[in-house]
Amino acid sequence: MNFNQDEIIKEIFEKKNQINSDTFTLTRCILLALNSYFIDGLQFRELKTALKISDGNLASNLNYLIKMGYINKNDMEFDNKKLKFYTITDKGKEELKKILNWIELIKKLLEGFNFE
Amino acid sequence: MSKDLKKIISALKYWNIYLKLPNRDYGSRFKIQKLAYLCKSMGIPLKYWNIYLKRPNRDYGSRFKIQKLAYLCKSMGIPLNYQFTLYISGPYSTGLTQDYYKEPQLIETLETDYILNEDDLEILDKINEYVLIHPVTNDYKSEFLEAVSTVHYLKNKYPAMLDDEIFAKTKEIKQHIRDSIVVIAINAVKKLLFKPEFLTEEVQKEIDIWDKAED
Repeated sequence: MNFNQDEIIKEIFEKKNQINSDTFTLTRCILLALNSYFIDGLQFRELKTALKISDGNLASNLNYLIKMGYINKNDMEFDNKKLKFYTITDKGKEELKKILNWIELIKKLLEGFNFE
Repeated sequence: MSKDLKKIISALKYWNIYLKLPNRDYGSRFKIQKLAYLCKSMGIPLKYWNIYLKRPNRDYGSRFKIQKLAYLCKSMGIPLNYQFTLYISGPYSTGLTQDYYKEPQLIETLETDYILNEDDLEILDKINEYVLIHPVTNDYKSEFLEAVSTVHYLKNKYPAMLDDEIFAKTKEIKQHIRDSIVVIAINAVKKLLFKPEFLTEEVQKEIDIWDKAED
């Protein structure tokens, strides 16, 4: 598609309103992205090591995403231990898609822009 | 069905460890009764045989193990096109995940028409001997598989890395794996990677000296 810059700017503002701004934080975006990539699901301890954040911080971000219906919390038995793992929902994938499309618009707007 | 997935299913079938699922038929019930009696009379907990009583299904634990086993098959030389990543939940291949999600029943029924060749069998026997039937798998099957596959990945990617560095790196990216399991995994990987040609006369002489010293 060929957009002119005016149309792109207009679309950036329109699409901004469709994104849940509470989800648009670094940690929450990463959690959605990782759960999209690792389709099988991710364990709490794996996420904690990857994100290098406290248990409380991770738990509150995960709980927010669960409350919004973006991810599911699942129980499993692993080497005779009970563990939790998280998987993305269709709603979560939709939200991530909206965010990525919005970033794509910004990329389009600044295409060829010299930052120096 | 993907040819690579067929290879993995053939490997699972060959190891047979997941296949002997207790089911409703008379033969299985009969065997379970006898095993249970033997266990009881010898004081062995029934879970010792757990590895023979489960087969892969759609649960997280089975998918987790299949990923690690597929990585070991590939890194030991069975040609697979799946690309694996290490970090977070690795070794992990999204290509493999997509394949088994397409036809999940194939993993459950271990349906395959791929015939394992001599080279495949040699690799599968090695993995079985040094990893799958290692005593540590009685209690830490998934953790040990994760440790072995992670160490193997690091050894492949950084051949010059020393054991201490591999230990530190593994602990950095997989904090939840116990220290002792990482150490056992490093030794298991050395056995997996060992080739007869490594045993030169010079090395044999040195081993003999150490053996004599131990006596």
